[in-house]
Amino acid sequence: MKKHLTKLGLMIVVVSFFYFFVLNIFEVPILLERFIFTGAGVVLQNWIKSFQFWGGIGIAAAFLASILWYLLAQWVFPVNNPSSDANRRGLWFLLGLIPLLAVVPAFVFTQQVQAGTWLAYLLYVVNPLLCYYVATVLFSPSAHKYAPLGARVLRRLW
Amino acid sequence: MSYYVIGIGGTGAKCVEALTHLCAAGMLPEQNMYCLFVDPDRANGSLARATVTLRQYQACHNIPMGNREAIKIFRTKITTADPHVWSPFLDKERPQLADFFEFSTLKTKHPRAAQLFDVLYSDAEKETSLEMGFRGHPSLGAAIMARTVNLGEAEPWLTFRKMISTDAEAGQEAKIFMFGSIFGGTGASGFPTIARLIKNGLRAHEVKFTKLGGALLLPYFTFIPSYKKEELRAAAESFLMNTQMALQYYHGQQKEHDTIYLLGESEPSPVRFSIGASEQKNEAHFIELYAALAAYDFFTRSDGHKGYAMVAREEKDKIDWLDIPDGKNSSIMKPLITQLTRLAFAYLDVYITTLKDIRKSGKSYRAPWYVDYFERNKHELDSTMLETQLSQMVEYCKSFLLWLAQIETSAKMRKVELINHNPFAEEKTTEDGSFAQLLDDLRDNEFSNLVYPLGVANPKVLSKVWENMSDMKVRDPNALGLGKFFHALYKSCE
Repeated sequence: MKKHLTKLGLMIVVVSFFYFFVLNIFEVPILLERFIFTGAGVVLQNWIKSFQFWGGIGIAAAFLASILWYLLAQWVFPVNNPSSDANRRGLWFLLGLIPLLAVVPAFVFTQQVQAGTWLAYLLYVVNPLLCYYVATVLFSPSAHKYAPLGARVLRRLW
Repeated sequence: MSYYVIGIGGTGAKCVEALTHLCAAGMLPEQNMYCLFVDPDRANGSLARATVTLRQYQACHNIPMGNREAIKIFRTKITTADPHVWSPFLDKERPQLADFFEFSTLKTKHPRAAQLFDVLYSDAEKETSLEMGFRGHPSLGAAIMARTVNLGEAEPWLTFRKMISTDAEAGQEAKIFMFGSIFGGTGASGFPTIARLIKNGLRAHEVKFTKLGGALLLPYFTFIPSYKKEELRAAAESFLMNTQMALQYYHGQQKEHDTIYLLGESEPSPVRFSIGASEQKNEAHFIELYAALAAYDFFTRSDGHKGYAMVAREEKDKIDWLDIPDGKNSSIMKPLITQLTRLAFAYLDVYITTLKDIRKSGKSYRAPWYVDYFERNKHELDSTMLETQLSQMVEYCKSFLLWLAQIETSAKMRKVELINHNPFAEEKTTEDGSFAQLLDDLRDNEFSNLVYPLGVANPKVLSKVWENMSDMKVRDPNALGLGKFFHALYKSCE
């Protein structure tokens, strides 16, 4: 159990890293404040608050997907019969849709600005997907540790 | 110090097979063991099976699985004699006692000796072809073996003596252990005769520091009648009489052995009768396991037995782990046999099938242990060497599980409750009786219940082994190649 709690704890670290460091410390001041031109009628600070909210929703969805992946792969679909149970890559892809779906309301509710909206949309997609990917590549259940695409290479470097 | 094992006759070969399985489980230390079979019937089915098991063992021993103290399986180095079977008839076709002693010449040159020969041996005994053994007549075997075993000249006895001499010169004690039945032909005649010749031969070459032990098996099976009555044969009805006479002989005159273990069974198991050759292939019996444990006791005991030691079991009709005489209430044997049984089961049921599947369809990410132990070490499943090693382990695991199943089922009047064979074998009944055979599809949901006493089956235990395999990092520098995989599997099956 200790092993599982450690891995789940490390997933939380990854998610926190994405929310606090990537989203709030790196992307907002370094990218958005430079490249977004809100134009008349939209206050930049308000727009950034909205971006942080919807970006956070995306990362929360990534967290939910990562935890779900761990719980399902470890306890709901253990490898009892390798010919049918061992291949869980499909499930991993399926759960990857959760952070992707969380992007849809962000796209809908984010106010259009004069320039740089594309960057916000890009970050909405990349942040949660990357968060889910990093968390699952590094901290999947042992029996499915290479199910995430590219895990064989990345875990070797890790 | 080296161990020397001599299996005499069909029963002797079966006991060597049992000892091989104990070595595979890691019961015996990391020593050299020299193994030799004595049998005039080289085509004997029991002998063939023991030889195959030994070959499989040797192949598995050669896989470097790591530090032999940590990974105990297959750690004893078993060397087979060359030739591994010694027959007093060499390559002679249709050997007969009369030819062997040149009876026709004897009649003309030494008529009195020929008359004595006539008194000692009937015409049937003189003229029956002995290529399938001594047919339950130890008097034939004793006469022939006494003339042919020579430690100074012919192989494999020459190497046998030289190896013991080398041990003695190094100040090491050589321990020789013999297996044979007291009630048949080859074992009953070979056991005392070969013991005497070995002792004499070693004395003649001034070899000291040797200990000679042996397990003598009293009748533990009987024949289902299906033979032609007129044939010279081993007759089950004379087993007890033969045994009584032989025991009297051992009590009064046989003083060559330092230790003798006598093993018997009051309810003999029925087996199909066969004169010999490939048809003489009786199922393994728990008494042979006891005989192998006798060898284990002899080899590992630093002090000799004083007086008469006895083993008993708690319940007359049941054998369980507490009855196993390994010196520590089965606490040595049980975990080792359990771990090897789990490994064999898991390997056959899950791992070899997964490897075959990966070879066929790729998608190696499904099996993290494959990526860790094969892919990253660049071990291609297509390589002939790897394929051979994997299939040798498959063959050994099958032999081991079948042997366990036979131990459980062959004693028809007794309940043997050591390993639960139902998850991997079933009893098949034919007109020749019932015998155990391995299942094509092992019952993996019973993996947790392979060892008695049984509990509630936990179907998730096999997935736990998979998880452990995927988690484990083998850091043992002595574990190389495929050995890393078996190292991890063995550890995961603890």
